[in-house]
Amino acid sequence: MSALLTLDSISKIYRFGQIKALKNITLVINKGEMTALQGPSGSGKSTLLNICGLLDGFDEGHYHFDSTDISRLTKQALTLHRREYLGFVFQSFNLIPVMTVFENVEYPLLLAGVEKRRERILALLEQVGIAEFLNHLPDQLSGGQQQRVAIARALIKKPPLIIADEPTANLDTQTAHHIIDLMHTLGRDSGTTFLIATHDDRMAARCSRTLQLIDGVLQ
Amino acid sequence: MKWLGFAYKNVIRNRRRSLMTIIITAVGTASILISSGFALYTYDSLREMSARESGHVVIAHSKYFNREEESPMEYGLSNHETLKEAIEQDERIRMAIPRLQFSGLITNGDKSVIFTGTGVEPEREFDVKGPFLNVLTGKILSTELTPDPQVMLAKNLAKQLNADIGSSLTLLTTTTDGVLNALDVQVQGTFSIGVPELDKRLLFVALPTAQELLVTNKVSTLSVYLYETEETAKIEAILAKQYPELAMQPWWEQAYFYFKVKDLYNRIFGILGAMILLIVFFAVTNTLSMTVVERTRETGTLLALGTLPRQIVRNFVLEGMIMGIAGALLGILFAAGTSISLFFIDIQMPPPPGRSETYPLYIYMSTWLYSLTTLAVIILCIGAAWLTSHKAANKQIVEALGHV
Repeated sequence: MSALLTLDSISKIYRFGQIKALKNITLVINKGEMTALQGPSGSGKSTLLNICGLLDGFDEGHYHFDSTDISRLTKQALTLHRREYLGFVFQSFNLIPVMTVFENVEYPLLLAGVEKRRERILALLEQVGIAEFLNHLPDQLSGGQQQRVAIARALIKKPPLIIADEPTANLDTQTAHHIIDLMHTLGRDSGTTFLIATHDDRMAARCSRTLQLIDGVLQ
Repeated sequence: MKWLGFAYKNVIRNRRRSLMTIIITAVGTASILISSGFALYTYDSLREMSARESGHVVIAHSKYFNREEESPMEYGLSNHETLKEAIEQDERIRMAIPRLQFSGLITNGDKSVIFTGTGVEPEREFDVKGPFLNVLTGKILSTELTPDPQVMLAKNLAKQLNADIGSSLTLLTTTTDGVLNALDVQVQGTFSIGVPELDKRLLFVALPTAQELLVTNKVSTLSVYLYETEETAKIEAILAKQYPELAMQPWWEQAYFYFKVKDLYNRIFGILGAMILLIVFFAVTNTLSMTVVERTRETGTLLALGTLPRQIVRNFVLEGMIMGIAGALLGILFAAGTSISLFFIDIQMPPPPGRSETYPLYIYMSTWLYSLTTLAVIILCIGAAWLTSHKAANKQIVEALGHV
C-alpha cells in the first residue's frame, strides 16, 4: 500500500503558553487504512487531527499529503486541497441548520462544481440509511441520524481521506455501534482512508491500527 | 440561485431580528423618500412661482438690467407690439406679456402711501400667474377702456387706504419728462401674492392706464412665457441671437428666493438623509454582527469543507442584500402610499417665513430619487454585511470550530 499521509518530525507549539502540543510526530498513513487515534484528554489528538485535516498549521517538520508538500501551499490552496481531498466528521455533527439533509450532503458537490448531483446523493443517503429524511432539517433528526448525514456529507465527493473527531462521543451506545459499523463498511467498500480520534475502544478495535498519543508524543 | 436560496433561509432563520432590521431599513428608506419628495415639491413650486412671477425669459432694453434710469422709462421698449407678435410665432412660446413698472404715491384724499405699480395686460397677466396671484375681492381689471381707469390693490395697501371695491383713489407719479402727473382711479379688486411686505405696496393697472399716467408708449419689459420651463435656456439663446440689440434675463437670475431655499433644503435634507443612512447602517451592522458571531462555528464548518473566505463573505453579503432589498421595497411602498394619499387628503402647511399663505402638502415621487435611494440603501446593507463578515470569514478554522 502506498502512503497517503507522511508526517515527518511534526511539532506544534502554542505561542502564548509556549506549550508544545505535538513533539516530533513522525507518522505514515497508507491509502485505504482505517486508523484510530487514542489518548487521554489534552494529549494532542485534536491538534494532530487538525494538522492532518489541513485545518491548522504546524511549527516544525514536514507534511506530505500524497505527493504534495503541505508547507508550500498558500491559504487558498489549502482550502482547495481540503475541498477536493478531505472529508470531515465532527463530534457535534456540525450540520448546517438551515439546510435540509439533501442540501447538507449536496454542499461539498456544489463547492466542487459537480453538475449531476441528485442521483449520487440519493444513492448515498440510501446507503447510510436516511433516504426517507431527505427533506428534513437537522434539528428534526436524532443524533444518530445527524451523524449519518455528516458521514454522507464527508463521503459524497469520494475524498481519499476522512478525518473523524470523536464521531460517536455524543451518541448512545446502540447508535454509536451502528455508526461504527457504518463507517467500517463504507470505508471498506469505498477504499477511503479514515483517521479517527476516539475514546471508544469498540471503535478503535474495528480499525486496522490504533495510535496512542500521550503528552504530544506518539507511543 | 442555490446561494441566494441559502441566504434567504438564513435571513428567515431568525425572523424577529431580520424583521426588525427590515423595518428599520424600510423606515429609513421611507423617511429619505418622503423628506426628499417634499423638498422636490418645494423646489418645483418655487421654480414655477419664480418663472410665473417674472416670465421664463425677460426681454428689455440693453441697459435696463445694468443701469439706473435717470428718468422714468429711459430704458423702456418702444417697439413692444411688433416684438411681441414676432416672438409669439414660435410654437414653444405660450405668450409674451408687456409690463410697465412704475412707482409713486397713492392717496385717498386723507392719506398717501407709497406704491409699486405694474401696468399689465390684465387677462393674460392673471392667466399666467395662476395660483400665485390670488384675487381676494372684486374682479380683475377690464381690458376694455372705461371712463374711470381701474386699479387692483394688494390687500394690505387697500387696508392702509381704507379702500373697498368702487373707492376712488388718485395715483401720483413722475412722467417720462420728469413732470408730476396724477390720475384718478377706481378700485376694481384686491389681491394677495402671499408676501405681507409686498402686499403693502403693490398695485396693478391696465397697461394703457400706466402709459397714460407716465405719458409714454413704451413698456419696461416683455416677459416671455414658455410651455416647458426646461426649455428656458434654449429659447433664451435663440432670442438673444435673434435680438442682439436687446438684453435677456432668464427666470433664475431673478429667483433669489428659489436658490436660497434650495441651498438651505439641500443642506438640511442632505444631513438628514446622511443621518438616516447612518442609522440604517448601524442597525444592519448590529444585526449582522450578532448573526455572524452566532454562526461562527457554522462558518468554521463551511471553511473546513473547503468554502473560500470570499464565498463565506458572499453568503453574508447576499443576506444583507436581501434585507436591504426587502427594506427598500417596503420603504418605497410606504413612501409612495403616503405621496398618493396626499393627493386625496388636503393637508395645508403653515405659511413659510415672510409669507402669509398656507400651501398644500404634496410629496413628489421621482424615478431617479427612488432609484438612487434604493441603490444607496442596498449598497449600505451590502457594505454592512461585508464589514461584519469579512473578519469572521478569515478567522482561524480551529478557533471558529471551537466557538461556543
